[in-house]
Amino acid sequence: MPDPLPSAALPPISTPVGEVRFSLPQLLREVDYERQNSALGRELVDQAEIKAMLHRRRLPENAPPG
Amino acid sequence: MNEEFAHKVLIVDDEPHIRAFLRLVVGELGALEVREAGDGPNALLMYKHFEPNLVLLDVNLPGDDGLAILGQLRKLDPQARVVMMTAVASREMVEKCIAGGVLNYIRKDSPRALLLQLLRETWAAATAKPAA
Repeated sequence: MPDPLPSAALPPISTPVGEVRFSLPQLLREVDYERQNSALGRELVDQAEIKAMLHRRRLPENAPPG
Repeated sequence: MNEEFAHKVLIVDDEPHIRAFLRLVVGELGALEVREAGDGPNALLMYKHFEPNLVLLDVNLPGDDGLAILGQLRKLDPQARVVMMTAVASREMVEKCIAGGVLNYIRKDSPRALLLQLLRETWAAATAKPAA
């Protein structure tokens, strides 16, 4: 019966993190940029949604006190 | 009795063909005098002298954008009646303009019939007397 391979020759079960390419502030800046410039950030709202936004904005002004 | 539509309208848009189109639209609604400006500084100057009842303001303008002009108009006249008329309808821009006190925010790529309806409704709501 042949000997099993030495452990050094076996592939690692998982690759440990060797380096960090981006700092957290860099990542947060990237997220912020994406929010402003991605398709989501540039989402066009239709006239019905604009109407709803205007209505929501006016509600507090027109709401009765108390 | 309220006016059916603003008598004096100032149209602010950098594209002459859009201004011409909006001039037809407000003319159809009953505007008697219409002036046009292609940029913010001219719009502010014209506002002072023309004293319009209603301003139709584009967002994409050379130099200061429509949002900045809206702020300057508000300083000039806190009661200024402004409707944003634009193809730029990002949620962020709409929210900022609403916070700036616009009467409405209308996409100018809307069908003509809808433009007429929205402008008519906006003017009626803005000039409606509160119920006694």
